[in-house]
Amino acid sequence: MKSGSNRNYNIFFNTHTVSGIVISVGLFICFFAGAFALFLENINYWEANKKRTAYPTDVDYEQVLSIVEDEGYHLYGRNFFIGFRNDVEPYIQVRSQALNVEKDSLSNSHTSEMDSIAMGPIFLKMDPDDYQITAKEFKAGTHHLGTFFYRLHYFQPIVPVYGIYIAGLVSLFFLFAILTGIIVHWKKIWTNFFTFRLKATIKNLWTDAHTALGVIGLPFQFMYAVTGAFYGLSILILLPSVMLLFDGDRDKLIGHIAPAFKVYEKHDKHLEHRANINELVKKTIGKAGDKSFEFVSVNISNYQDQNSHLTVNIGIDTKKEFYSRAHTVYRLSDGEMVTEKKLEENSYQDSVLSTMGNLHFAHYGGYFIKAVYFILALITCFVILSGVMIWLTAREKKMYEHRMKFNRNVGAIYLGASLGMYPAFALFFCLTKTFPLDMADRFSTMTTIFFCFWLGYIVYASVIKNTFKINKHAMVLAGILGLLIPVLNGLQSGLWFWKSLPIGYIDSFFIDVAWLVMGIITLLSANKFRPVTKVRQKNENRKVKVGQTLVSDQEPQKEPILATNQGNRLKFPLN
Amino acid sequence: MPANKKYLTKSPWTRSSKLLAAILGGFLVSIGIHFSLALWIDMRTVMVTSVFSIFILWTILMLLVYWMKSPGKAWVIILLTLIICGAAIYFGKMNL
Repeated sequence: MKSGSNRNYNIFFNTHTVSGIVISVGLFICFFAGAFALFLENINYWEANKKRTAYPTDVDYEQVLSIVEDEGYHLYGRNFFIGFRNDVEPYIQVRSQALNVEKDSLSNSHTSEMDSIAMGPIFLKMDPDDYQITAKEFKAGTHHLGTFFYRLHYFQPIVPVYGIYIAGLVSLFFLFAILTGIIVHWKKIWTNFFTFRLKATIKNLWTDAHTALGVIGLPFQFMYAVTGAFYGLSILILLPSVMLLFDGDRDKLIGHIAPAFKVYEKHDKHLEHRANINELVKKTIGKAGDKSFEFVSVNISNYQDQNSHLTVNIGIDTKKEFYSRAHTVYRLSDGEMVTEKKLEENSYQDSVLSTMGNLHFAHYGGYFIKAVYFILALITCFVILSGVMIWLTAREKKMYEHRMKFNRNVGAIYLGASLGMYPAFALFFCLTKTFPLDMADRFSTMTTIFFCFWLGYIVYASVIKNTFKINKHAMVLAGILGLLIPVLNGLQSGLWFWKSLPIGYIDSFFIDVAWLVMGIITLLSANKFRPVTKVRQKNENRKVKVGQTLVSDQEPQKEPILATNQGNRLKFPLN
Repeated sequence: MPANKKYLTKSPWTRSSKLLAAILGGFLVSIGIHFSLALWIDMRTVMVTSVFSIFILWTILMLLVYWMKSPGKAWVIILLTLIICGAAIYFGKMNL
C-alpha cells in the first residue's frame, strides 16, 4: 500500500469513528423512536380506543372565517391557512401570521391592547361539529403516545425548542459517517458482504454485522441522513437564502419551493364581492373524482384585498399512489382559476418537497412499506450498536489501559441508553393502559415515569458494565412488558385483539398483535443469547489460529470484552 | 483497531482549524455555490434541488477538508471559492 492511501484510509477511518461515536446515542434515539413514530396514528388511535373516521370534505370555510371575524380579529390583508385535521380528537385549524402594522397604517399612532390582539397572530382550533373554538393558542405539549414518540425522535421532550436542530446536526454527521464508512469499507464492500461469521468466530460478529447490515441499509440510511438533515436544519437554507437572494422577503422563497403556499402581491384596495370559498373547494374536490382524501386545506392570500387568491390543497390516500398532492389557485375577485397542479402532473420542481416528505414519513405503500421501514430502522439501530461495540472492543488493549475505565463507562452508558429505550417504550405503552383516565396531569406523570425508568436503566448499565447482561436484561424486560400490553389493553378497554378486528378497531388490533409478536420474538431471542465465554469455548475447541486474540465479556476485569479482528482482516499499517 | 495515530493531526490548533474549515467552511461554500447557480441558471430548479443537495455537498466538502493535508490550504481554497461565489451572487442579483 502506498503511504498516501494509508494516510487516507486512516484519516477517514478516524473521522468515521469519531463522528459515529459522537452521534451514536442521539442517532439511536432518532431511529428507534422514529421507528415507532412511523405508526404514530395507529398508536394514538390504539391509546384512545377509537375508530378512524373518513376525512370529511364538507368543512364550511365561510362560517369558519365569520367566526374568526366575530372573535374580533382584523381580517383585511391576512394570509390564512384553514384545514381539517383528522386526529384522535379531530379539529379545524385556523392559522395566520401577525399583520404588518406599518404597511397597513390603520393604527399608526396608538395601538391599544385590543388592536394588538386584532392584528396579532391567529391560531385557533375549532370543533368540526358545531364550530366552537376549543383552543386559542398553540401549545407545544402532547397528550398522545404516538405523538410523544414522534417528538422524542427529534429530542423535543428532552431539549425543548432546540431539539430539532440537534437532530438535524446528528443527521448531518450521520451522512458524514455514512460517506466515510463507504470509503473505508470500499475495497471489501463486495467480498465482505457475503461474509457473516455468526458462529465460527464470535469476535468477527460485530464487524461483519456492522459492515454487512450497513451495506444492506445504505440507501435507506442515506435517505434518512439527507431528509433528516433537511427537516432539522432547513433554517440553514431558508435564512441565508432569504437574506441573500430575496432581500429578506420570505414569501418569495416560499413561492419558489412550495408554490401551494405562494403569497400574492397586495393591491391595498378592499374587495367588495368575492367568490364563495366553499364552492371553489367543492369544484376542486370534484376534479379528483371518487378518490378518498387524506387532507383538504385552503390557503388564502391577502384576504378581502382586490388581489386575494385562494389555493385549495388536496392530498389523496397514499396507499396506492406515491404522488398524492394537487392544488388549484383561484382569484377570489371573480372565482377564475389562475394556476393548477393536477394529481397526475408531477414536474421535478413540484415534487421534490413532497417526495422528501413521503420518503421520510413512509407516506406511501401503506402498512407494507411501514413494516419494511420499521425493520430497516431496527437494522440501523443494530448497525449503530455494533459500531459502538467495535469501538469498545478495539480499545480493550493494553495500549489503552490508561483510558480503559473511561471507555468502559462510556460504552456501558451508551448501551444502557440505547437498549434501555426498548423496555422503557414498552413500559410507556403499559402505563397508558393502567393509569386512570380521569387522573390529573396524567400524561406528564407517565412521561416522568418513562424518563425515570430509562435513566434508571442507564444507571443500572453503568453499574453492572457487562454488555451481555445489559443486553439480555433489556430484552427480557421489554419482552415481558410487551406481552403485557395487549392484556392491559383488553382489561382497560375490552378491545381484546380477537374482538377488536371484527368490530372495526383496526388500530387496536394492529398494535396489540404487533406487540404480541414483538414480545414473543424478543423473549425467544433473549433466550438464545449466550455469554461470549461459551462461544469462546467452542472456538477454542476448533483450534483457532494463534494471533487472533479471543476474549470474552464475562470477566471484564481480567479480560477484554469482545474483540474484532479488524487488525488482521483489514490489514492495518501498524508501524 | 483504532486508526494509526501516525497519520492523524496532533496539534489541537490544527485539529480545531480543520474542524472549523470542514463544518463552517463546508457550509459556506455549499450555500455559496448553490446561490450562485440559482442566480445564473434557474432559480426555481436550483432552490428546489438545494433542499437536499446543500447537505450532500456540505458533507462531501467536509470529507475534502479532511482529505487535504494542511488546513491552511483548505482555508485558502474556501476563501477563494467564497470570493468567486460572492462576486457571482453580487453580479447575478444586478442582472435580475
